[in-house]
Amino acid sequence: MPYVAKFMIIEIWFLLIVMAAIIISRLITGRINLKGLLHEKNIANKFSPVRIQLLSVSVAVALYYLFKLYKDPTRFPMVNKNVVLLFGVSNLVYIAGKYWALCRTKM
Amino acid sequence: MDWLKLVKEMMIVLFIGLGQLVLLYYIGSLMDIKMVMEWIVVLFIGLVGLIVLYRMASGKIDLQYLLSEENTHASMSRFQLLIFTFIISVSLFLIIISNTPLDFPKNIPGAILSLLGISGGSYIAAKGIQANKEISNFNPKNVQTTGSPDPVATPAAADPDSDQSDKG
Repeated sequence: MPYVAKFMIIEIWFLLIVMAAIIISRLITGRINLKGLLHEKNIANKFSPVRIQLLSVSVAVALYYLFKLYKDPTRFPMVNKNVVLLFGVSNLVYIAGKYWALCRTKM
Repeated sequence: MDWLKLVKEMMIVLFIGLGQLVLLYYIGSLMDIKMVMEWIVVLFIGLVGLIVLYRMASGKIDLQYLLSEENTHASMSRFQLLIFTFIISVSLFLIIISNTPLDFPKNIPGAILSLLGISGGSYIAAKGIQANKEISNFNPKNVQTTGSPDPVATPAAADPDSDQSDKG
């Protein structure tokens, strides 16, 4: 492998890892605002089940994707159609919940 | 005169361009020009990345509201978009460097595009609903005029009973 390619790989790894480290450290220390991420916006201090299910499904799908990639990192993993369906339904429920909240405030 | 300034700037750009060509020709006579260009591109990308990282680390690029909407509440759809964009970009890089020789993947499965599309679509839909809510909260009938010649009506002033926090 030419030196320029080796240098590029190290460079991109460095940029990606440092960027991830900055964002994760700021999420942990609270310097990136996460206030209200899992709460109902119109009811103080009440957890939103819709948001919790979206977070759970997103994390699960991301881990599933990373696990499949780990097994064969030479090509994009074949993601099961049911997983995509689950992800879509989860997002649909979240959007429907937001829309329902909007309609409720209009009434 | 504006055109004189323009001609002067064009001449400067032309001289810089010619200077670069002469420099490249000279370097090309010493070594492989393709390799020189590869190094220039790789170093330029690295330099830009380092500047961005430095500004992020020093706080000059403000990340506090990276996941927040205008009302400072964190948005679940932004969080999800961040996760999936980062994971799929890292996986693309991992796949490229795992192939020998380095190679871009021949095909991108539809399921991967669906995951990114659902994530991005959800973000756009959430933004649309939020914008709709802001418009519905702005009720001109409730604007309190203060006697000033040009009263400024904000959504918060327009409808004090409405909940501005239901965003994200």
